[in-house]
Parts: sequence; structure tokens; C-alpha cells
Amino acid sequence: MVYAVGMKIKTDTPVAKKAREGVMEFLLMNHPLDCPICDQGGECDLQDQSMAFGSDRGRFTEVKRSVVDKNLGPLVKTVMTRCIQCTRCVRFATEVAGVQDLGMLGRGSGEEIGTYVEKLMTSELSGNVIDICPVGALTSKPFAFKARNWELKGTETIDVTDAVGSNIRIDSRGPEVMRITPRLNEDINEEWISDKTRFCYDGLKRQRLNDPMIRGADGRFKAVSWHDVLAVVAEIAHQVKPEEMVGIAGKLSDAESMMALKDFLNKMGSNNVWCEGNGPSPNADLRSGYIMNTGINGLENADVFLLVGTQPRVEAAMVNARIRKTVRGSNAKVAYVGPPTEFNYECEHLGTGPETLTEIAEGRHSFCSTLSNAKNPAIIVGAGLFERSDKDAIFSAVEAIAKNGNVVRPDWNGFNVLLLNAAQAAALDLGLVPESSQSIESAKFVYLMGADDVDLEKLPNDAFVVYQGHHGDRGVYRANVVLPASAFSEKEGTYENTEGCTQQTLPAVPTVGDARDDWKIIRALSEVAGVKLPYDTVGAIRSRIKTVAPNLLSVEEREPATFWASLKPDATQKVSSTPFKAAIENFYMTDSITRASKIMAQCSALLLKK
Amino acid sequence: MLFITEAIGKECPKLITDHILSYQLAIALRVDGLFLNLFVVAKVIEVAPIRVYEVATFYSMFNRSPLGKYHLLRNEVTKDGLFSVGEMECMGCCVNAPMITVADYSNGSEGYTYNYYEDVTPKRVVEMLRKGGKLPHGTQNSKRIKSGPEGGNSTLHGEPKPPPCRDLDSC
Repeated sequence: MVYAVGMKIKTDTPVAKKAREGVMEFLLMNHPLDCPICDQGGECDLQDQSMAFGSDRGRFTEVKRSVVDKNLGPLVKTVMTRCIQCTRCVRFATEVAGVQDLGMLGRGSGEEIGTYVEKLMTSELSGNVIDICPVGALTSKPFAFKARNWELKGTETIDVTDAVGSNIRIDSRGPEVMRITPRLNEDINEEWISDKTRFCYDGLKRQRLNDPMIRGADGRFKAVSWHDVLAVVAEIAHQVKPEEMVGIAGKLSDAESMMALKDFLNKMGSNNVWCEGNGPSPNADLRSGYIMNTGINGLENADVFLLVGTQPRVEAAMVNARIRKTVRGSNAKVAYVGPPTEFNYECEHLGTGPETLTEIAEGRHSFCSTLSNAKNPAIIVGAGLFERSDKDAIFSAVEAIAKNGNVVRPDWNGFNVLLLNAAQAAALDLGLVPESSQSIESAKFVYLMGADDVDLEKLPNDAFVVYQGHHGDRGVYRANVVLPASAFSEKEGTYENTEGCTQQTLPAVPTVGDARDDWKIIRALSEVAGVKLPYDTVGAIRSRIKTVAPNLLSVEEREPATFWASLKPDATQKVSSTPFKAAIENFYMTDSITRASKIMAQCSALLLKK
Repeated sequence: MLFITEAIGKECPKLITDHILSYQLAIALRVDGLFLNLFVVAKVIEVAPIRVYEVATFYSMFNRSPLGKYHLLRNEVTKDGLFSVGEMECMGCCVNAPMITVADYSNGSEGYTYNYYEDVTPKRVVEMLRKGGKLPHGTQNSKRIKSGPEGGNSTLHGEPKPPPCRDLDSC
């Protein structure tokens, strides 16, 4: 019934109370009374409503129905007898996740939620059905029987497994992260998070580095004290020439530690410092050239999307959900240039390589008319292109398209770069740009701050590699010295997401073993090396950041790029004919935490199987 | 598959609501000979298989497994061409079953009537047909008022008993 003027709504009369009790009695008729062994117990909508509005017993004496459990994959556990047929999961799968896998089968008392003939739910957002299920029918499989929700301590923090910076709550018990759930933030992730964000947490308990280690002559690591390891690193750092020193920040680095790394290397006389994923010659001069200028929320106002070399579904699942929402809500058109991939909305595949871009830029492509007729066109360029040698030519082609399509106007900025990693935006803001793109080939001292995906093939064999990080991942194989650091769940750090919104993580659990925060390690090392950095507290290092990138201090605020200008005067390079590559091969395993996760490994094995 | 495509294309608007989906399935059922190949139908009408499966499991006239050669529905016409009898599912009136629906086109579409005759027995149907003309529709059982029980209320004489709960005030 719709509320009308003059209508009186009574909520506490005996009639209302009786009606509610009746509804609750019907709902509980076929609902098992297994709350003591149900994972939803304590945070169950039906339990709460039953407590508030229900009667303490029912009149139903017949046999309750039972329903066969469904296999929805490695993430979602089902106890279908508990289902009350609210169909929220069907709506979520159909409308938000965009996979028409779930449906309501049968009728009457035989009604049940199911998939079309035993099919797994294949969505990167499938974990959200756990949150929206009001009862214990769909619960988290990895979290099953692990903890009760009232034992958990909630820490409101952010996710760092992609560049979106989804708002999450880390639920921990003692020193252990028990689960991760989303927090509402309408501007970034709404109320959803991706499966990678939600289930990567078991990676935080595996493969952790907990002691400083030095590789001995026999090739094995030996645990040593912080005092000794810092002395060794400082001594070797002084033995090499400043231009032979290289510092690489990893995907998960926070702004504070990147600032400290850059300051340390600068004090040592080197400026070869960059963040992985930003490519050999990043363009850090204009902020509008590397952030999502429209904003994630702003994408909802676009009516035409051009995706260039980006696969948002695997690179940033929450951005993809936003594009899908726009496509569903306002029939926006989406066109895509890149390798063949799957979309969960209608998408026109224009081509696979840069030559398609050139065609559009020169007005020879049929898509040009769609673009010029659009009211609010949005171009999204994938950060995977940063690694290409013809990056500048591609960006100038995109700029030409933007100019022809009137994409950047005073009232609308539709030029976007979709970054891949949590550290990228802050690294470019702080000016982590290498002096020379060939620095790895002549390096003698390499400082890897959680960088695992750097190509160290060309590194000379006699180079000394320091790996500072929280996981024994790819970087450790080549390392001579290992410095254990804390993971994002254990430290206070500043991150900037792909749309330029600054957010902070908060420590949810204590660090593992003898690990320390990244910036503190570098600060201590600087003192041992005799180039003491002038900050001792997080506050002090943030004042230092303020002098470089003040936007990193306005937390939970999106700082749009203030100035828009052509990024490159005129590209001297030519676009190559090499087609675009997929930036991410495996959605579930992109960084050291997710690679250490058993759940993510199961997902890769089951869900990516073709 | 081709037949289904043609039949649906000819008779049916494009899929907008679930209502049309069930209509499309009904056509597909007719063309495909009583047994629905859900996957093929889903492909033809361009929806996800699960959407077809939902509708097909809801209505029992959609058979999801092959039937015998002779599946008997009493869709026969009497020799004089006056009557044909068919089955109807869920008339929403099972308290007064068995029943007959009469769609009377004898007065043209203007005077068209569509009435339920409830509580019929073979004997009563024959009587009804003998009488002809206008019959009172609804229940044919004279001892019953509308869908109430025969001979007046047998239950619910007073306020129904609430569930036996603790009396919190007396605790």
C-alpha cells in the first residue's frame, strides 16, 4: 500500500502485533530450528525479526519440508532447507552480478532456489549473496563453523587487492583475520565487494615472512636480528655507486612507505625509484592523465563507454559493476578495444589493437558517430597499457578521440585511466618516476619493497637484492636479504584509489613475528646508513607527504585533477600493430596475498576452468 | 528448433515480461510435440536457460521429460460438433471441485460470459445440460452457500485460539 496524505499508520496495536506474529509463524513453518548450528546465528534477519515480532512457539505440528543442498562453488555454502524463498539472491545474480545462474524453481511447497541443471555460480561478485541472504541458507564456505559473529572484533578499513579501494570491515579474533565483509560507500563500492577482496584473507596467514633473514653462501636463508641485517644492508648500499641503486615499490605499498623509500634513495644519491605496474616511463606530470577523472560514481552519468585495453570485470570488479548498473539503468552503450573477453553486459567489440584506436581518432570508424552523438561519453583506458613501448602514441590517439568526441568539457570529464594496483595512484602523486628506464640492467643494489611482479631477468647476477615485504613470494627467490614487513591488515597506511580518493587502512590484527611497518624499516635503515630521515612518527611522515602531495592527507575525500591539458605535445612514436594484451590473467591471483591464499587457488582451479 | 523459431516469431511479441515467456513456452510446447527441450527454447527466445526452467517447473503442463506416443487429453469433439471437453489447470477454486468452466460465445463477443459451475457430478452435469438455458452459476450443491462448508460452519465458531505462549505478566 502506498502512503497517502492523511493516512494514519498504526504500528503498535494488537491487530498489528497479531498480524506480525502470524507472518512470522508462516515464515518459520518450514524453517528449521537449527540456529545453534547455523553460521548465520547472531546476525540473522529472521532470528532478529522472530525475537522482535514473533511468538515463542508455533502451531505447526506437521513435518517440515527439506530441500537438497546445491553446489554453488568453493565460496558459497548452501543449506537450502533454511531458505525462506525471498529471492534476493536471484535478483542479485540477475541484476547486479549479471549472471543469470540462479532461479526459483517449482511451485508451492516444492519451491526452491536452484541453478539450471547443476551449474556453479560463475561470478566475480558471488560472495555478496552471503551478505544479502537474510537467513543461513547461503553462508561463507571458508568461514563455516570458524567463529561466531559476536566473538569478532570489527575494524573498518579498506581493501588493497585492486585499485578500487573498496571499503571493508576486517573481522578478527585475537591475532587472526576471520573474515572480510563490505562496508557501505556509495561513491566507491556501494554495498558490494569482489570475491577476491572477500576471500583473500586466508593468504594473510600463509607464506608469511616473520624474521629478518640473510642468504648464506649455501643459498639458504638464515634468521638474524634486525640490528645485524640493517648493518649488512647499509654497508652494501654504501659500496655501490648511487646510480646503481634501484628502489621498486610493490603493488600493495602505502603512501607513507613509498615516501620513505623515495626519500631514502634520494638521500643516497639515486633517483631510480618507481612503483611496479606504472611502466618504465610513467607520466606523472598531470594528475588528470592517470586517475579516473569521472569518478566511479560519476560513471553512472555516462551514456557511451569506450574501454581501451581494459577488462574491468577482472581488473576492477566494482568499477565493472558500476558500468553494468549504468548499462542496465540508462541503456548506455559500451564499446571495447582489446583482446576477446567476457562482459556481463552488452558490449561492442571494435577491435583488438591500437590500429582500431587510430581509426577512431582519425574519424574513419563507424563508432565515431556514436561517440559524437553521446551526451556524456566516457573513455576508460586500462593501466595495462603503461607497460607498452608505444604508450605515448596510444595515449595521444586516445586524446585525439577525446577531443573529437568532446569528452572533456568544463562540466564533464570523461577521460579515465583505470589503474590496476592500490599503490599506483599514490606512487605517481608522490613522483615515484625512474630517472632511466634501463636502470635495472645496470643495477647493483635493488630494494624491492613488496615488489613481486617486476621483471628481474635482466638484473646482473652480482646485484644485491633486498626484499622487504610480508609474503615469501616471487621477489624472495632472487633476494639476498629479507626484511619482514606488515601487511595491509596490520598497519595504518594511506592509499589512493583509481579515482583519486584518499583512504586509510587501520590495523586489525597484530603483525606476524618480528615484522615491522614498511616506513619504519626504511627509517631505521636510513639511520644505520648514516642518512637519517627526518621523521619518527606517522604524523611526521605525513607532514612530509603534505609538501609533495597534499591531497594524500585529505582522507576519504576524492580530489579531482584540477588541471586538464594535453598530456603529450605530439607523439613522435608510432603505434605498433601488436594487439592489446590482457593485463590480468587470473582474477583470483594478482598479488602476494592472493597468491598465498588457498581459497583463491581453489577458485582459480574451479571457476576459471574452461 | 526452426519450427519453434517460426511459430514464436509469428505469434508472439518480443519478450518483455514473464507472462509472455510462459506464452512463448506454450507455443513451443504445441509445436515441439508436448515435450520441451528447455535449452533449445531458451536459445530461440534469447533468455537465460534458468528463466525458462523457472517457468517450466512452475506450470505442470510443461512436460520436461518425453512422453509416450499417445498422451491422452480429452480434447475430443462429440459427433454432433456441439461439445468439446478439455482440461483446465488451476481454476483457483479447489474447495468446490470438481467443476466446469463454460465460456459462452453464443451471444457474440458482446454478450460473452465466462462462468464456473462448481460441485458438479456426472449426474448433475447431465441434469444441467438437459435443463439448458440460463443456469445459476457457482456451486451446484444446494446445501452449500458459496464455498462454505455443507450444512453451515463446522469450525471457526469463535475467536481462534492463539499459540500457547507464556503469560509474561504472571511470571
